[in-house]
Amino acid sequence: MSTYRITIDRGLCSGFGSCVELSPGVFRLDPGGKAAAVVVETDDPSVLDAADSCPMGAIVVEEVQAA
Amino acid sequence: MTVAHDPTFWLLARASGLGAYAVLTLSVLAGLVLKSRPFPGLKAARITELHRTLALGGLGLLALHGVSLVLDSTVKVTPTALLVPGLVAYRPAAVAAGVVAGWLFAVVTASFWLRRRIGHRLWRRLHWLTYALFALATVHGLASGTDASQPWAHALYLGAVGSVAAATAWRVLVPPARRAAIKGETP
Repeated sequence: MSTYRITIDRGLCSGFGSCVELSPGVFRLDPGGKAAAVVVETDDPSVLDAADSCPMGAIVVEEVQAA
Repeated sequence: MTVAHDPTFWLLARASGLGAYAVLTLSVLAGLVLKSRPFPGLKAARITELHRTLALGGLGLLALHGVSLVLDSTVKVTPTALLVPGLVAYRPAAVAAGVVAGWLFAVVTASFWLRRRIGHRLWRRLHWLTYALFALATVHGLASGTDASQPWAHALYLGAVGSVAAATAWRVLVPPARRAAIKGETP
């Protein structure tokens, strides 16, 4: 099983919200309207779709080796 | 006594109509590039900015197209006829296609700023209307455009339809390169 590490460039984030809709267990919008990750790492592959959908390219997903 | 017709607004109406169509095409292409990401070197944020700016620019030229038509006397167009399809006697179906395309263009563009209120899914669904509005704008230009029979206009319409069709084919046929977004080791 793959594990994904999530990094969000909050300077780039425009608060579009597609990541929250596609991967609601991992992303949320903070009160300032910027995306934040609820967890640092996850095995939920929906984060890949979330990263793809980001119109600002603000989400980087790194695949890390399972322990 | 005859009063010479000042062609300023007539020329402006034609130029802004063609310009709006060209800029709409570029915006559609930028949107498709953003979706398919065929050029990994391009920053998504830059393409998004370009896509949004082109859409707004296209709407600006569309507004100029409408205002010029109202101010010119060659074709009788009232301000209401800019907003309601079917009120222009000249080639009514083709002009109505243009009015509907204009509305759809405005709705799809406005949806960007309304996305938090309407949600990502509805925003995505509204964006599918782009294909309909591009087709309607093409029909409008070809069937009611004064310059549509000119060879350079043929090149414009052919280039626009061909490039959007090619970019759409790329979107459909080439699987998204989402693995490129992943850094680090793969198992």
